[in-house]
Amino acid sequence: MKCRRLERKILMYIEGNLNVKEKEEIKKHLDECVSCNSLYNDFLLILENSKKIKIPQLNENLLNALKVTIEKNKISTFSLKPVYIAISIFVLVFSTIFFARIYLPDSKKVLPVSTGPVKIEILNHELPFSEDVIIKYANYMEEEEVEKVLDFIFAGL
Amino acid sequence: MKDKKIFEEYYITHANKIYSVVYRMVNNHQDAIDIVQEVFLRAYKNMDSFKGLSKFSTYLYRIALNLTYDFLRKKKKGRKIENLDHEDFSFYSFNTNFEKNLYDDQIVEDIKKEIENLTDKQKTIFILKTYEELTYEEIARILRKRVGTIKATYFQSLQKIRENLKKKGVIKNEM
Ligand SMILES: [Zn+2]
Repeated sequence: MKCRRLERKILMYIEGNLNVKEKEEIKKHLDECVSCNSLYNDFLLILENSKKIKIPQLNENLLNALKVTIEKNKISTFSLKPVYIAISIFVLVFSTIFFARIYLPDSKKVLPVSTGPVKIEILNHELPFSEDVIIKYANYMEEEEVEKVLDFIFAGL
Repeated sequence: MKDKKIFEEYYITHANKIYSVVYRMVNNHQDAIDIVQEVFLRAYKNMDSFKGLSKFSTYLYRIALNLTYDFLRKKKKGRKIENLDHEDFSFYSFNTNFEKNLYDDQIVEDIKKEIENLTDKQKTIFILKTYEELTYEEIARILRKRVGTIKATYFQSLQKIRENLKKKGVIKNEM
């Protein structure tokens, strides 16, 4: 049915995410179709009223309490510069490739997609790559990969 | 110290947003405060990794949501969340009337109940879209899902709320 296809567009219409032509199409359909018109009005009603749900204010004292907690627990910032993150990914990816070359039979010499767990310890080891090479590689890195490493770091804390 | 100053700026920029998302997920001020504290402590510890990253809020939302899911999971099992030696806030004045009916319109109360009936994932997307007014793309980045999935889930959430409101007779069935 035509309406099924248009339902999603009704939401986009409410959000103002349609081009002029689509907007006209929906507008016209809403005038003609009781069922879609009802969906449109109900969505509007739900969205407008959801926004009336109140929540408490964040207490301004939280920042001070955080500072106290940081002092009391002697928490320090963990110095892991982005360049080291890049290095760690670099090492991991290359060691995986290396591993794959040595241990996998020829037919399975496909690079694994996942970066997998990253060991932070490798940061303290001397690396057999020059900084130039690393930075060059890091520039090709997807942001997703950097995020994976950040998530790993967070999980470990 | 320089780090503390930067931390303060991050906090001032993001704390309210993070709190409001977490509060809407857990529906309890003190629990939300505990989670927000934990989010910012983790952010503080990792500040150096954040410096210069464009979308800091993406990471904050992600940590906050992971902690929130964790909390909700533990709560379902009947255990309390473990915390560092946090400062206690309960002595600060705070209006706890939020749990009670305080809306002139019954429909707001009904909708609030239906939002609570969404699954955690549906609720998250509903909150990020409706209240934080994030784009589908931003939500997809935070949750690491495809944009299409986010759009579909948001639509489903609205449909679900609508269907349940119909069942309860809060909104009328079309003729
Ligand atoms: Zn229709």
